[in-house]
Amino acid sequence: MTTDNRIAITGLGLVGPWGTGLDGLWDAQTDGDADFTPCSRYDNGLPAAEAQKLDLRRMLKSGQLSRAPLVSQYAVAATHLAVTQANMLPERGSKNGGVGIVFGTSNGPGAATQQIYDDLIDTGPTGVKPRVFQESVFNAPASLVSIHFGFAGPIQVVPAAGCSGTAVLYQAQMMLAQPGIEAVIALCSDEMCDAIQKGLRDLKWHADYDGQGSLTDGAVAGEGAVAMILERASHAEARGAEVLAELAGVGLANDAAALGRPAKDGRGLVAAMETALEDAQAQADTVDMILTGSAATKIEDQLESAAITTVFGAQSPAQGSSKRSTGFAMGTAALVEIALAVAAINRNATPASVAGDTPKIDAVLCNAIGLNGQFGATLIKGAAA
Amino acid sequence: MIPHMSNRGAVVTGCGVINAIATDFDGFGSAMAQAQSGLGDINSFPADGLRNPRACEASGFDAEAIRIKRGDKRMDRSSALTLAAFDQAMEMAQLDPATVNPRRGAVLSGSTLGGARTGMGYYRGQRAGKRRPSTLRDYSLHSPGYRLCIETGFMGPNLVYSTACTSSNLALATAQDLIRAGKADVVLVAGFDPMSEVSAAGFSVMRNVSPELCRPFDKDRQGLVLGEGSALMIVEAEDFAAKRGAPVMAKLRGYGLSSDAHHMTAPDVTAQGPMAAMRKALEMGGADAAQVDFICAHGTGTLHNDAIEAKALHGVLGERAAEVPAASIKSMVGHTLGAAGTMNAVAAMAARAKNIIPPTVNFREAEANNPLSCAPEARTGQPSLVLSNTLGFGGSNCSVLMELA
Repeated sequence: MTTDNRIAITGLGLVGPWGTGLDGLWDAQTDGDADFTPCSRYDNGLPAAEAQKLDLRRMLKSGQLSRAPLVSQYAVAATHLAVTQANMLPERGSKNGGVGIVFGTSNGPGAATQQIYDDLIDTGPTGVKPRVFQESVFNAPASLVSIHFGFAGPIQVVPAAGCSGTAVLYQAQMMLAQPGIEAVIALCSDEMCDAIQKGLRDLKWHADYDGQGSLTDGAVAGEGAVAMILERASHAEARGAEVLAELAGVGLANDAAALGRPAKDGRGLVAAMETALEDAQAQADTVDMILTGSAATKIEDQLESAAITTVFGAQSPAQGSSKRSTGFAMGTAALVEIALAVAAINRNATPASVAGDTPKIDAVLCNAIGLNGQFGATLIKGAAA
Repeated sequence: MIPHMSNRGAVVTGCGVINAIATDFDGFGSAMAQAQSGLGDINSFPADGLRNPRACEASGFDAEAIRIKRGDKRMDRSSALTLAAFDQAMEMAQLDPATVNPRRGAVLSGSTLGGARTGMGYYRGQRAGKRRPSTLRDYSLHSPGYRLCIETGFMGPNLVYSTACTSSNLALATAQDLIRAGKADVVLVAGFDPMSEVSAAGFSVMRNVSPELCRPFDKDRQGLVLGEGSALMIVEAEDFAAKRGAPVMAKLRGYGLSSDAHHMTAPDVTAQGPMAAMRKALEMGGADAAQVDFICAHGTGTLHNDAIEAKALHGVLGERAAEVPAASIKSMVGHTLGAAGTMNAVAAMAARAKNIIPPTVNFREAEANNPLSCAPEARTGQPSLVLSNTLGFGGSNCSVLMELA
């Protein structure tokens, strides 16, 4: 790879149950199930990984966003932290067509959508509130980020459930190939809402508590946002930006199997992992650690295990994920793992949520599993010396 | 890594369409030639309380036939609309999906509120204590695309874009990128959005809906009317299509993307965003503004949106903007939201097949400022280089440049 087609990660902003920042995410990793409690915003008794409250007024020195849906607040906060770290915080009121945004989410403004459903059932069409409707579309958080920071480059929005993070990076790679694009904000955000958690429980995808108060199999829904600043390595070098890590390869695939019944042999994930390695011009034996994509459901655990064996053979690298520590942050989940990979590379250590030890951490493969047969894989590597 | 974008061409070899005035490609061309309007009473749900109880529903579409054909009685309307358009397109393109390397076949879709009907239905049941979880498997926006993957065996990306009105134009744009980057040989590009209570109520309370007819670019326009439908295109790498001797309907020359970074709902009156998108599309397509001979406009019929788009067109095309034939098909099929981009593209191809410029029905008199050349009846013409615009809620803009065969 030449300097010109390498992608540098120069900023990372995180919001989630651990608070904000990469150190918080690292410190929140556990070697077993964390103590999940129900979301404080509604009462459905399901375990959840709720994001810590944000003080946006203090962070942004503006009160304008305090009424926005949480998914948008998380998105703006994560972007603010990322652009600040990358030394790209724009002057208020300026516009920059050279910065694009790729946004991923699973449910978007879920609480606003639930509010519209309630208003329609209780009052009829006239009960729907204009502000709630305009904030309910999937692209609303990305538009708000664009408006707040004056980023006037392209906006792309790819809702892809648990694969959203990989989908965002896939699009970002192509966006960086466009003339005039200096940097891309790769952003994912999701908020929990009562109806979605219940729906996922009804699908037997979400965990619950058993009679003894222990977690059953399944995912624990989480929430939060991750923003990542991506730019050509040559661009980062020219402006003297610190490179946190490199986005070496991305693979997206699907298993073309059956609606609601993913292929148990993990063929979709095999295709995604092989494509990511090919994109990075890397061999499987150079991968030091795998951060897995399974949300902790039986079927996802099974197919991911099969896929890893297919690609890596019996001697696969150390594996684990943050999901039993900080929840499955829905559309943000894949970027959470990728952020964890960056932290592991920079510390040259495995997080507490990963079993096994490894002498060095320089290349981490981060898997992602979405709904309806979507699979993704991303290879993150340490910054070239 | 950042892909190398080659000059590999992307061509359209088949398309299918469902909307309020047609249930297939040929019928769409004929209906436009006759300046038909699809406006009628809303039948999908009670329309009491809406600013306009009429909309452009695809009443001629038999979703049940698609469900029976696939043996899936709980299929969401979005999936049914998409599969119907897919069947037509595959027949037109005569493409055997088995000839495509599975990892080099992709599905890209655009939708705003795809599964809203299923979501609303499920939530009603949830509140009433009657849950049917199996319906939720078709709720997500990427379900229709996944069904296309299952039908074709394509194992490449199945992505759905949701940037409001620009959604399926963005899918068309990305299809070009996948082909130029050498990541795919065949891409199914679909736009779909069904009529739903959510969108009808939302646009109604925001007062974007016309209380009467939709009159894009007319000086007395009062708003949009909602539509529903799907429009799907089979986009192939030019070399792949040539190798199998496929008939080419159009070549995708370029696209431009921008955002206003201005306001969630109000367009930026400077029109800088849409102008940037159109200029980028022309630049990428290696075309001069003087070569554009048909403007397939976004033209929602709202006061501000049309004014901004017309201003942007004048900014890009100069004085020619008042002369180049322009049309908004939303006057006939309504605003199909996320499907608007591919609906425009298929309309341009269907019009070319009938040697017409599509009409803008209900159009009576142009604005004094930045007038466009619209007409309420179809005009004879053979459009060749088409600029197709979409301007979205939240300030995202996407223009696509197409060369019709």
